[in-house]
Order: sequence, then C-alpha cells, then structure tokens
Amino acid sequence: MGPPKDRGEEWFIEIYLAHYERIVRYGLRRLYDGDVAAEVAQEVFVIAWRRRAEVPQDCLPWLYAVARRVLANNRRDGRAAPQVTLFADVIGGGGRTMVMAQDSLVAVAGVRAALATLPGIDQEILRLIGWEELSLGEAAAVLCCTRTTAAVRLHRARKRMAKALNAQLDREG
Amino acid sequence: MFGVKGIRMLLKAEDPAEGVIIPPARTSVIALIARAEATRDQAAHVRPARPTRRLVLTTAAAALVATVGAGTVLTVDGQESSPITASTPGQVLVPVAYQITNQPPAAGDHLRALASRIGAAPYDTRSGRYTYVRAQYWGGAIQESEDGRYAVSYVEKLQTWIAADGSGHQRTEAGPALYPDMESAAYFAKVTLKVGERRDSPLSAEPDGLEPLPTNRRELAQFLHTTQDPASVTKAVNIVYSRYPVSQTFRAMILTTLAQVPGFRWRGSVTDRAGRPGVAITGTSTSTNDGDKQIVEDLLIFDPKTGALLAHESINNTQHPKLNYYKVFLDYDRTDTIN
Repeated sequence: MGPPKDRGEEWFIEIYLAHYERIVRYGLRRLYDGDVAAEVAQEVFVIAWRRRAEVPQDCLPWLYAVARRVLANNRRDGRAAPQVTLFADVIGGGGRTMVMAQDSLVAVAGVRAALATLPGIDQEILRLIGWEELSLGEAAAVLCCTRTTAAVRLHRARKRMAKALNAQLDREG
Repeated sequence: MFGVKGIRMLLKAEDPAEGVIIPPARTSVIALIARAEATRDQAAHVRPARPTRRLVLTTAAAALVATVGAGTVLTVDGQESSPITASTPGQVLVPVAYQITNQPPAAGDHLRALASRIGAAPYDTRSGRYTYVRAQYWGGAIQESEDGRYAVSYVEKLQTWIAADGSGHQRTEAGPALYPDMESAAYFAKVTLKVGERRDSPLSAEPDGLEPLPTNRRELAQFLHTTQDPASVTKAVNIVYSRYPVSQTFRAMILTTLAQVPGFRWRGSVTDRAGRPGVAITGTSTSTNDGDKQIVEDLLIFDPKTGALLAHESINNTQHPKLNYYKVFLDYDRTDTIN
C-alpha cells in the first residue's frame, strides 16, 4: 500500500511553497542561525515526502512537530543557540520593551530573558502560541499531546512566565 | 496574568524572526524528493521508536559506562584516549571520572579554601581591546534521527574576540562528529553527515555595551542566578567565562559566590577533556520534559592554581550517565587584534 494518490509531486510542491518559509522561521526563532534554520526546514520536507501517507490535510502543525524533532534543541534549555545569543537570552541583553497586554499593562524587561528561565516545555508552548501563532489545538498537535494537556501546560507556562517577569522587575527595582 | 492575545503581544516584540527576509530555498523540490528517496531504505529499517531515547541505554552502552574507570577521558584536539574498541563505528563520549563518586561532601568549604589560595593567571597582566577566548564544545546543536532515538553532535572549535561594547568577532570550526551512545554511533555511521565547515562572524556592538560584571557579592550572586537551579548557575558561570576578562579578584568572588549556593557537591581532583588537572563541583537539577522527569548533573572544573573555569559539562543522569554537553576553555587572553 503506497501513499494516497493525491500525494504526488504537485501536492508536495504546494505544501513546500505554502509552508517552507514558516518552517525556516520556526528554526530561526530557536537556533538564531538562518543557514541552519534553512537546513532544518529542508530536512523537514524530506521527511514529509518520505512519510507523505501520514501527513494530515492541515499539515502545518505536523510539519512543526517534525521540525521540533529535527531541531531537538530543547533538552538543554537553549544550549543549541550560538554562544552570543545564549548570553543575551540568559543575562537579559535580548532587548527591553513595554507591552500593553490585553487585560493589563505589563511592564516587560527582557522578555526573552524571562522566557529563558522557564522549563523547556513551557518555553515551547509559549513560543508556539506567541510566535507561530498557533491555536491551542494546533500547539497540542505539535507537542503530540491532547488539547486538554496542552491547555494545562499553557496555563502553567503563563503562570511561570508572569512570575519570572515579576521577579525580574523586582530585581531591577 | 495575560491571555493568549497577551502572550502574542508580549512575545511578538521579541520575535527573532520578525522582519527577517527568508531567502528562497536553495534546493529544488525535485532535489528534495530525490534526497528523500535516496535515504528511504535507511529510514525504513529503523525500528519502532521507544518512549524516550534518553531513558534507554543498550546493554553494550551500559556495559561501556560500567567499565569506564577513573581517568578514562576523551580529550580534545584529537588526542582522545577513547575506551571504544576498534570495531566501534564512531567515538562515544563518556562523562569525566570524579575522584569522589560516593556521598560527595558539600562544596562550600572547599570552594572558599580554593578562593583563598588561587594565584595569578598569565593573562591577568595583559591588556588589549578584546577579550580572547578559545574553547571547544560538543552538544551545542544535536542532530537526531527521524524517530528521535539516535543523536549526534559535532565538536565545535570556537574563538571569540569581544570588546567591552560587545563588538568583535567569532570564529567557529566544526570538528568530528561524536555520539552520546553506541547505538547512535552505529546508526549515524551509515548516514552521510554534513561536512564540518569554518565560519567567521562579526559581532555587533550591543546598545549599552556588555553589562559590567558586578563588583559586590550580592549583585554577582544575582548575575549568576544563584537563586535558581544548579543548571542555571553553571550556565551563567560558563557565559561569564565566555565573554568577560575574569580577573583574579573576580575568579575568587565567583568561587565564594558558588560556595554559598546550596546543592553543589565537591568532587575532588579530576582530569578534564584537555588532559588538564582540575578540581570539580557538581550540582543536580530536575526538570520535566514532555511529561518525563529528567535529572541533569552539571559539572564545573576549575584550575586549582588560578581558580579559572576549565570546563563545564552537563550529564543526563535520568538513568545511566550520558553526556548532554561539554565545553572546555582552552585559552584566555587580552589583545588589540583579531587574528
């Protein structure tokens, strides 16, 4: 039994054109290296072709899930990043900004620095929602968990992020 | 606490990919398909995935860990004394052996004693616009098999020249591929890996320059994230030694600051991967990754004469010890030129 008949080169070209850039951006956000991000994206599509029989109709979360696996950079909480970026993330050199959130005014100092203090899974679900702009259901698909589990993880991640931001503000007086 | 829209607004302002123009793909669709088909046979022979690669070690690899005794260390610059037999398809990294393996004492008193007796390092008296650091690391970026069971990473040789404003230059050179376990070595020996390459990258000045190292102990403790887990603390120490000229005074302050962090244990004398004698401390952190509890031990090795950081390693101790990452600091200097 081969792949579905509609999973030929035309289908592949279509998803490649539609999603290549997004997968590169996904890699760029986690590796801070455009060349490596492009290599990761190509590997993702190589896998997509090989496993085209398994690729769902709405394939973007599936592609992100493969990209996440290919990157495999979240076990050491940021050590995949180049040294300079790692430093910026940890020490807080990633920039400072003020953001008006939906339900409150949140003064944010070094959002990336706060993000870097969270457990890897918390960082990833926040990035999927915040940077990839996925819905909760799509993020659950990327993380290979149920929507309920993703909701719990997101809730915990938001709490920890708020705590990290507050702690950062407290430290800076 | 912020909702989904709040998260998006918060993170969008810090999106590293915001405004970045993504160049067209360098490989055509047809070439990608050809590449996929060329490696299809290999992918087809992969066994079904087990729950977590990191949690499983083969009998052979477990035996390897068990037989590695004190002093068995993979060194840098190709001078390895690998315990792997000639029939092994690749080099497998093993954790550094500790002098004190069972019930190591708290590190505080030993670190304070070390801080009180350290002497000058050769670079202490040198001056120059740039801090020069030559290092080597492994595990910075891990490449995994499609099913996540096998992993490989390249040794990276790193040279950095950093001025006080953060500007400078970074040169990396990819070295040989090494593996965290024997299964991975066997798997990737059949796969064509990308060839290592040298990259030169200019470093841009940071808007406010490098944040200076704090001169009082309380602020240095904050700088080193001492209220967080040992993994965060050791990472911060690694970063300090990666970017700053660390004087004798600061080296002693870092040691005494670490002495006050609960959880660090004294491991006595060790030999680092460059074959240098050092003294070591370790700290254990636990985290949950996709529902699996992970136990990670971070190791810092210090020069017993100067107190400088010689190496930082991270070992996954969730089941059998398996190396996650290492970095050895091979050379520090001050210079006015980028060579």
